[in-house]
Amino acid sequence: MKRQAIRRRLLALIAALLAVVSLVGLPTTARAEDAAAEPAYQTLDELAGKRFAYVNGSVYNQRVQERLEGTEEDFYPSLAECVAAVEAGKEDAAVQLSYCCQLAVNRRPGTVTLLPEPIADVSEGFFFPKGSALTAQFNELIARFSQDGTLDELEAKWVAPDESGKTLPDQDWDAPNGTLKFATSGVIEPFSYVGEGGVPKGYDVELALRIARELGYHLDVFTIPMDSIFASVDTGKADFGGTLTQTPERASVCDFSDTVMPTTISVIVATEGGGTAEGGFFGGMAESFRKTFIEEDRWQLIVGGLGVTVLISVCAGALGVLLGFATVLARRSGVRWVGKLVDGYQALMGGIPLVVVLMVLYYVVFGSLDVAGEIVAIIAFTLAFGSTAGSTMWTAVDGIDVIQEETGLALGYTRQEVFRKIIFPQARQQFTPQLMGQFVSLVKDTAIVGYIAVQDLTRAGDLIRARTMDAFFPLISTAIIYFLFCRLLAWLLRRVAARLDVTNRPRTIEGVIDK
Amino acid sequence: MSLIEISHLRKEYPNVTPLKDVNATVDEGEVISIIGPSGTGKSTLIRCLNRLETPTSGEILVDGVNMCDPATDLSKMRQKMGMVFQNYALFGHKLVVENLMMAPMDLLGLSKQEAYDQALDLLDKVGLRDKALSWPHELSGGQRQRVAIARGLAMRPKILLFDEPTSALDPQMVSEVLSVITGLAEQGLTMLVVTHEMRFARDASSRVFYMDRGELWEAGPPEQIFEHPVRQETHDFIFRVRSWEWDVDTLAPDFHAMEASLVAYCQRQFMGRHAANACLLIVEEAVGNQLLPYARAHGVTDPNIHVTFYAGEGGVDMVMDVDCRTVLSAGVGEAPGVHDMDQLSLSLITAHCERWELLEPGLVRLYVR
Repeated sequence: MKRQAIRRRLLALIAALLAVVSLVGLPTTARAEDAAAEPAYQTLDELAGKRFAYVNGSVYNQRVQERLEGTEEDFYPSLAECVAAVEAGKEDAAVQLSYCCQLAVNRRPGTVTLLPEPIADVSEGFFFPKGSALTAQFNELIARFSQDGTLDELEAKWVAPDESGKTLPDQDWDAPNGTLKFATSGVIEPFSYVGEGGVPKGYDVELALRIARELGYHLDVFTIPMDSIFASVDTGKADFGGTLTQTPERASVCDFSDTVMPTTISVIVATEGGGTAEGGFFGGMAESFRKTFIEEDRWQLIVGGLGVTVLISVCAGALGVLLGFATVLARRSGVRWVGKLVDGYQALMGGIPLVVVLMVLYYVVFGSLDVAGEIVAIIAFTLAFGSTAGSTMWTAVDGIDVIQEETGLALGYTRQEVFRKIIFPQARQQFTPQLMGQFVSLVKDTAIVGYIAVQDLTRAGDLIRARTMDAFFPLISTAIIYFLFCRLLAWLLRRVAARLDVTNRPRTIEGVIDK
Repeated sequence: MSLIEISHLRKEYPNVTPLKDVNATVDEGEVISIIGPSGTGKSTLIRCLNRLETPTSGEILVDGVNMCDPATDLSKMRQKMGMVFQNYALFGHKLVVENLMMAPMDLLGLSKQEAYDQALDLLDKVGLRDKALSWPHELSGGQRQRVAIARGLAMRPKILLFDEPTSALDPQMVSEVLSVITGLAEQGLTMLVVTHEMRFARDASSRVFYMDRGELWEAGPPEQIFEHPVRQETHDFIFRVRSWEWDVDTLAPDFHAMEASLVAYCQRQFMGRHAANACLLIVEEAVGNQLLPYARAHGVTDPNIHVTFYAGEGGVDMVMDVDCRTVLSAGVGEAPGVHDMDQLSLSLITAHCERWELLEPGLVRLYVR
């Protein structure tokens, strides 16, 4: 009977997952019939007053406004989401560097088109903390590389359709000056993106490497969401970032280098009645699966991300329970100011969004210290979980009848013994299930650590989306992995809880003989 | 030297002073019942004895040790004094037998086997040997309280303190707990029992403390307290707890509440079911079928009927006074008293009464059979 119930449940689960996947998969495959595709807009001028999609942190909207009247603006994490919004008809156009747009259109054939006419010229550069000596050194080398043709050579290499030659030089040179930390977005192919094994590469990365070699540095490259790059350079988490367009506002925060590659921005619009998803629904699914997981061994990114998610959750869960227990002991101490301190801590954690706590810890509290993002994330989630776990435990401890405590005292136990032997075991019976539910929630909450350059499961999905330009499949995959992982965790924790439940134990006294 | 010496004990809270100035001694082997109205410091007194409460001033000597001295090892002293609370407070995460084994193993250094054997013996003593491997929540209130008593005994105390041990129990469970406590009293254990059970206080204790308004008003053997109290307050209290009263100040009184309280009173007095029913019938007939219709007919809105019933234990000497002067004075000119009642009601009432007499017009005394 029990096994049947489990099988029925599994079937229901699989059916639900298939339903979700097919709902999402259908819009992309429905356009498979007609190859004669027509762009929704033919010229730039038709786009006046339309809705435009930009990448977070982008300033291209200013350039579009100079060119077109009355456009509306929305911002997305990467070009992949922008393209998905255009495909779905939520946006009329997506704007990005022309090279990026060309790549996106190549990856989504038949659903989107690149307008031939660029919107504007733009110039991108590296940027440094105010007053950094690196700025002048970089400019010198950029000028030299421009003259000796190195920049042209790099451009040709990274925009080429052939992927095989796009590799980075090994850092086998001597670095008498140490290591520089380079923050880059990792979502702007071909300038900055993650390749095999999650390693950042692209035009920007190689140029930065070549400059570092000339200056006698090694380079530590890490990716961070677009809207956090400036913060990471400004607070010294990175020695430089890039590349981005210089604006007066940005120039007031950071020093920009000279332009590394004069280029243009273009517009992507939807194609009506087109589509090339070959092999029908399952063919499309297989192709998406291949792109998301198999190509360039991207499954390693997912597995690595899941590992980071697990690491952060487990460490923060264990430390958080200890911290929560400490708050219970602090409240029980009866010392007024200690209790107030715990109140304040819990009010603070309850009143500030976790993502803000995370960023404050990373950029402000540990701003000047070289602490790994993973450590900061563990600290942040320990603080958060410690607060909720602490109040859950305290509610249970406080709810134990005061007579229980008096009975223990009257028997001759000390106050500490009463807590350890009588109060806490009974409270634990009550709070264990609730605490475990909160822990599963914690696992899901860790999805925000990408903000501080930690590559967890969610961020891995983001990075893959930025490469495949397919917003749906990586998202759904991420959702399924989280879901299955959390179910597994909940199941495991229920078994642990059942083991901890003293009323489940056999009614025997071990180690005694009945007379 | 007495086992317990209390002198000038005072306990103050910011708004209330439950103990004003209490002086008492208890000798080894004594069984003391502490009685008195609610909220007069009885519980505070025994909670001060094992220092669950810290006295504001005064001195408590237990076995020659000053309990109020900060240097006193309270845990050690508390081991000599078992305490049983109103709400039993068994440890829910332990089996019944473990409730009895835990403290002796942890604090007296008994081996597991010794603690187990002792626990079974004690459970045997309170009649719950076969519940040893039950969870506390599976027991009835009376059973739990008996386990709590056994748990107190497991620490082999010199003194056992009871804080209203039967107040939270259903009436039918009171006697099972009281019989266990009575049994202990006969074995020479020193006990202080805060109780509302007057029969227990009279029959099982060697001395009775009457406490009122934070003071020990009268202490003496049960015969003195219950039969010839020296002080008026004691006399009034004893009389009050032995009588039952009902005031009717509306034309539609709550008969259900009246019935519940009368039945509870009769049970407390250990009256038979028959006697209780007879009382109930008399009250319902006299008030419900006679006086209230009469009041309504004469336009009385506040009938102001006062029924007082007192009975000796076991239902001897049952007397009921019915004060209906207000109602009857409304029909001036008509002959007052039970003469007016119709024949059926009168015969029902008189069937349950030995006799009745008119104390004054409108004030009837019935001698219930």
